[in-house]
Formats: sequence, C-alpha cells, structure tokens
Amino acid sequence: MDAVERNIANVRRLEDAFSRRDYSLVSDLISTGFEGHNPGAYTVTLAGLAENNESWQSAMPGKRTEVVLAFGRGDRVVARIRDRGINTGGLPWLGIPANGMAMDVDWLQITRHDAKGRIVEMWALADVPRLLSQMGAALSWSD
Amino acid sequence: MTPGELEGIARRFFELVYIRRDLTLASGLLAETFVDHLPPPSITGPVGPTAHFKALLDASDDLGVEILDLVTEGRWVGIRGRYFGTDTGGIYPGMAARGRRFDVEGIDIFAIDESGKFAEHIGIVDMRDAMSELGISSSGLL
Repeated sequence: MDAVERNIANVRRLEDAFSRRDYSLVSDLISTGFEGHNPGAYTVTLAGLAENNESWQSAMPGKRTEVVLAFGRGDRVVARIRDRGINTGGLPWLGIPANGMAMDVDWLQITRHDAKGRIVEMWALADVPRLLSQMGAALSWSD
Repeated sequence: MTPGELEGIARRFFELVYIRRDLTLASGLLAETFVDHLPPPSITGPVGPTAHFKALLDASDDLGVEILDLVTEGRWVGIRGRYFGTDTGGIYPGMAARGRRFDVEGIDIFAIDESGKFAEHIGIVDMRDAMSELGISSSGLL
C-alpha cells in the first residue's frame, strides 16, 4: 500500500470509527495539530470534530455514513461522502427539533495528511440546502 | 490523460466561465452525456449546466474565482475554490438582488473522459456562509 492508498484508507477508517462512536483510533488517524475548515468561515479542532460527531449521532442514532468516492495525490485526499439517518433527536444547532424526517445528503471533503497518513487539515462542505429541505426547514429573507 | 493535462482542462474551464465569461467555448468542454449529480436532481447534457452558469454570471457583475486547491488522479479532478462578488442580479433563486457582497468556498469533483471533456460533476458551495452573507435564514420551519 503506497502513501496515497494509506491516506485514502485512513479517511475511510475515520468515518467508520465515527459511525461507531469509537474515538480510540483518532490519535492514529488525526494529527494533534488538526484544523478543520467546515465550513470555511471557522476552524474546528480535534475535540470539536468529535463533539460535532456526537451531536450528529445524538440527532440521528444509527446514522449511516458511506464513502462513495475517494481519490488522492501527494498529501491530499478528495472524498464524496453520503450520510443517511432519521432525525429522532433534533438538530438544535440548526434550529430544527426532532421530527422523524429522513436525511440523505452528501458532503464533499478534501483532507491533507502528514507523513504518517494522519489528517492535518480538513475542508468539508455539506449539501446544506438539501439537508434543510429534508428536515422541513424553509429558507426565508426580508427584502 | 496525465495529471497535468487534467489540471489544464479544469483550469481552462474555470477561466472560460468565470474570467472570460465565454459560455459557448466552456460548454464545448462538456460531453454530450455530461451528468451533473449535485445538487439533485441530476442533470444530463451540457444545456442545463450552461444555463446555470449564465444565471450565475447574470446575477453578479463582478463574480470572481480563485482556485485554492486542485487534486487530480485517474479521471478525477477535485477543486476547492473561492467565489466572490456582489449580488447585482439576484444570485439566490427567487430572491431580489440586494447588492450584498459574498465570499464563499466550494468543493467540486469532476470526471474527465478520454477525449478531454467533462463527463461528470458533483459540487457543493458553502451555503451556510453564503446564506449568512446574503441575509437568508432557515428559521421558518414548515
């Protein structure tokens, strides 16, 4: 397995571990100096990444995450990831209560890896308009 | 195709659309069987994406792009870009132009076929930042 294949495998291992709420592998997969940029306006620390996962797991217990596509070159891995679940716990950070509605959305992610394959930086964007629509949220603005 | 060739095709497409605003030449880089997967529903053929780009360009007189990261492998190209400009023509569907500035990032994945044309695309723009900058809220729950 070359370095790029290892990096791609680590992206898949991280999603698998997060799906199981297993944080024992995190130190093998993520650098201590990790910075997540999702979305780009603010950064997420390693602790924040785990907290974010816990929020989603509470909102949608048993949520299924699938890496649909992954490719890489050098120290970068690009991935398309699909998330499916049922909103039984609510998404308070988006102002959405528990409502039993089904989510099936994608997010796109680019990661930068160190020489050991650990993720140093992550840029991830979810299909927010689709998520909001599936959760019954309406977009509004005042003219 | 080599990684360098793939990168060259992708950069040329971005230049044609966002810098030169030449959608005739840009649409020529899309395969007849081009499939745009995201956002759903999927669109097949170059007509839909070309209309989408025209609407985008019409909605912002000073729309600009900066490619921040570009990764190629096999037939795939991944791009992280920054899109910035002013909402001069109603950049969000159904919302009147209000002259607000926006500066958001997006991630795109393209597949390029053996003839050098775009065969597939998946793309997501940072809508949480875009909504905030354009004054859109998601507070109204159905």
